[in-house]
Amino acid sequence: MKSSAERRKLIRPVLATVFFLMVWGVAAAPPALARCAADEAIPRKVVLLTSVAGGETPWQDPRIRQLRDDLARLGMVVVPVNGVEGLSMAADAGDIAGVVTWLTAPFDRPAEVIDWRAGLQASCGQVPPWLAIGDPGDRDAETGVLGALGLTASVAPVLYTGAPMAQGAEAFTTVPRFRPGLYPGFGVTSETRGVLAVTDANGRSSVQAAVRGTSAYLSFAALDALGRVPDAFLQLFAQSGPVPDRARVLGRQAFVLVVHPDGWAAREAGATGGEIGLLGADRLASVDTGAFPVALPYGGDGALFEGDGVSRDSARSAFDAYIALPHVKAIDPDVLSGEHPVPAVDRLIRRPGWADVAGLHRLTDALGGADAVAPVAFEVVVSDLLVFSDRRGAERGMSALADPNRIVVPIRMAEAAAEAFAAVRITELSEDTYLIEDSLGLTTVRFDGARDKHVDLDRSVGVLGARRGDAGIVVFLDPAAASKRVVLTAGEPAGGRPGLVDGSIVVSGLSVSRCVLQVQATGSGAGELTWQVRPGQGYDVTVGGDATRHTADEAGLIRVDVPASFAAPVPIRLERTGC
Amino acid sequence: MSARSKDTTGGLIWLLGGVAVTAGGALYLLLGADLRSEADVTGLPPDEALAELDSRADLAPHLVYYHAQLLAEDGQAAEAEAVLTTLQSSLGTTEAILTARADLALRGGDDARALQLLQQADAIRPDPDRMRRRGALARDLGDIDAERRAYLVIPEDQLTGAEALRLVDLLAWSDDPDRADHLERIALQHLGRETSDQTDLAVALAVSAVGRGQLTNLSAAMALWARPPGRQQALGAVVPVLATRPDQARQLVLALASYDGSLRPALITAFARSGLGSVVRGLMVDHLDGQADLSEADWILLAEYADHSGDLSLLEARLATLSGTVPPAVFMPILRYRGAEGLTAYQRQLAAADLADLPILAAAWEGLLQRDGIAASWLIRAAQDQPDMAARDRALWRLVAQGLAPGTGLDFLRGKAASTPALAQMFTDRD
Repeated sequence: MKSSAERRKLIRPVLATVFFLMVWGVAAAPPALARCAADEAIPRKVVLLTSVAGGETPWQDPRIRQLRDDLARLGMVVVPVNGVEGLSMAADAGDIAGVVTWLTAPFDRPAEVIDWRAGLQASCGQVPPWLAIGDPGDRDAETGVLGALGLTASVAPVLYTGAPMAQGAEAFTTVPRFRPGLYPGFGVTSETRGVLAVTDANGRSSVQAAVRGTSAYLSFAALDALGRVPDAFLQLFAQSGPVPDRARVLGRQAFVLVVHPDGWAAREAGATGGEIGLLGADRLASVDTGAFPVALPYGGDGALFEGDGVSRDSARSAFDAYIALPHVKAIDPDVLSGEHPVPAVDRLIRRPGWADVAGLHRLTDALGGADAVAPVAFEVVVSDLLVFSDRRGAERGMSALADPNRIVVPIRMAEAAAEAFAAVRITELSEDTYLIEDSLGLTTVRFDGARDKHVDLDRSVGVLGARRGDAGIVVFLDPAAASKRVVLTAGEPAGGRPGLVDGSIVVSGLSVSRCVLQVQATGSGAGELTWQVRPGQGYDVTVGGDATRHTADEAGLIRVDVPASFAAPVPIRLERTGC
Repeated sequence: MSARSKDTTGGLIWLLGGVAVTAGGALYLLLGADLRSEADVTGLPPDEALAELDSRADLAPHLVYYHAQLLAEDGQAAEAEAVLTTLQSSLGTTEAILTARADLALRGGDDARALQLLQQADAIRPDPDRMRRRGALARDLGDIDAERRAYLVIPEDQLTGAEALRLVDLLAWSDDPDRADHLERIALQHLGRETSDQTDLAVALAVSAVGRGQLTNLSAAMALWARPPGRQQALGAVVPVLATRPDQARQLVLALASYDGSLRPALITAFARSGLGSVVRGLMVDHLDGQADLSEADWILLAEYADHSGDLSLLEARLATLSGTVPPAVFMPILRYRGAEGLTAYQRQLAAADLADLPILAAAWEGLLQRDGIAASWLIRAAQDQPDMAARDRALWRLVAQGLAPGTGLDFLRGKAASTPALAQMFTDRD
């Protein structure tokens, strides 16, 4: 575990000067928590306390989904607790990195929240970082949460008429536009920084955001237009060390091609009277989906085939033939739902209101440019292919994605690694040495801000390679290894083992000996791999059965092309020449 | 019409169609294969039509437009923009071209450019639907001025309630006092209609009026809501805003009540419920003044005033000189503020009353008669019948329970609460 001083050093460059107040407020807080769990794993759970009515899940609120995703970007897993069902279950959560409360009204049983807080304090030695969003939970400034947040409450609400501007706007990248209206009369105690407030004509203020130590308060009105929690507040929960990242493979955005079969047996409109338009099935056949795995959400209920009677049987047999292809795999449609603690994929929903304009054409851009926290789903509905503009969008998109030089990496739905992300345990064995356990399927960890370090591949285990950039180090992990070890060094390591620095396919099964390194491409489309070795060094590279002699260029790079193979993995072997 | 003439008509249409096809063919032959007619191009499948239009120059303006549309649908946004820009330079600026270019800008993710183009199109001919698109785009961009401009040009009678409400906010942020009356009038127009966001609009109107200290428009609206049958919800929504300025509230209430005495009951109820009983005490006195016998409605009004304000003096003075019967609800404030003992003064009335609709009062009364078992069952019934009981009534419920003998009272009910959710909620303080 890094000292808090080092941690601050990592955080500070990320937050620009506009965050000055917040950096002071958050990063200069007391040092990071002592580990709650006995085994010293870096805490990754953020408990989310809501009080939603029976039968509902918190994920139905898009703002909560956004919060979940923003915390996932920091490597955190949100553990929802519904206060309506009682708070006792949450007390077991071992490695708590923090608590977020999301309440629309004072909690039903304020004493329970206070007890629960005290329980966390008793088991961890101190209260974990605490962010109250919406209502703080109770109104007790003496012993309750309100007091712990450094808030005071007056009975009279504050009437904000819109004319005087919000105070403390510097702390926010975009100042929320507070609607004129009544606001609860929250003030702050002396040790609290009220970073944002609305003020009425008489100078009375209603605090909308405040920080006290590692506790903070944010009103719903202080969330931005998309309902996002400002990044500076999320940094309350940030931990040092590697951040699991399941959105990327070999440094590129991972994506899943999803083909929804609706419209399979439908026909496109005939161009002029008398002509018969093509079937959706025929249109799909004319689009090349064979370049990467296809996930087919299909419940097998036969509803697809409610086309006109003549074509039903032929559509059915075409469908059966399609689903038997080696690159096509039927998946449970529910897997695509975003209402999970760790959803399988990010769905690029076409922008509401403008879908008719943008169609499928912009999905490819969105795919590459997305700040995703999960593999992104590129979704095509067969019925889309019956409309000219959407078909052209899908065709162009898929041909761009099939290019081995694509900016993304195709994966199978089974490789989306949601479970691995939730389960992974990271322990700092010694300074700059991390053990990453229970991580089967995990392909990436990031060291954000670590620009002055390198990965020592010879001392690391289950590490394919790494890429260093302005934002920090991205480490490429072997997804087939359940347990990995990542070792960082201050200077450039002397070792000579080849390391991947780029690639557009999934590889796994790393084995390393003195002269030979082997991996396998796990059966997706054609792609490329770029290895970093010593400049000028020769390697005999075998892809499948064919061996070729490669000599590293001046930068020490070797580029290897890998053909498509869905039926079986492709073994790739690099043997140092003259070893 | 006979079957025969039907056949003749069908044949005629068929024949005319044939002539048209022949004429089209002749024209096609005349013009030559390289200049197929507009009908031919627009009748082709889109892929082929696009290839055809790509290969031709000097197209008629509507075909140029169609070409741009197909290019856009094909994903060739830059080419479509170039075709439209050329068309614009030859044909002049038209709404259709500007709107199409705005769509292209949106596709390219350039919302600011799209907004600009839509504004230009509206400058040629304002179109309410397009202004709504502008409003939504400007809101996405966080461009308050552009959003305000968009909504201000939509005719006021065409604004939806939500749009009017948004405009109220937009104008509030502009800090432009000259606009304030205007926006209040817009809000008022919408308050005249039945819309789902009436209470939001009412609050927005009150915030604006109280913020400016100009209550004329608000008082007109409040008179409308308070006049029977009344809109108690809208009236109730503005009172918390008025509560931030008790002096203004007092002036407003007095002015309204002296203008029209029939407004008094609704005003009394709304203000007392919001904890502003002191503001309307004068109204209550005026309302009772000169009435020897109170109607049932007036008894309920007096009880509601007393129950929410805690001011029992007017109620007790009336009860002291009572000769007939009263609705039993008038004893709820007595129970709340004087406790069960307070009910002893009204034994005769309570003994004769049917308390089935007031189970907490019934429980207190039975407790007073030492029939604690019956009292406890009234309390259980209260909890079961009113799952959404207000916090103040739950507190009263616990107080009554506390007064019962051990074994039937609070400890008994608390024990039972473990297995009965309806009872468990009686022991929380949630509001």
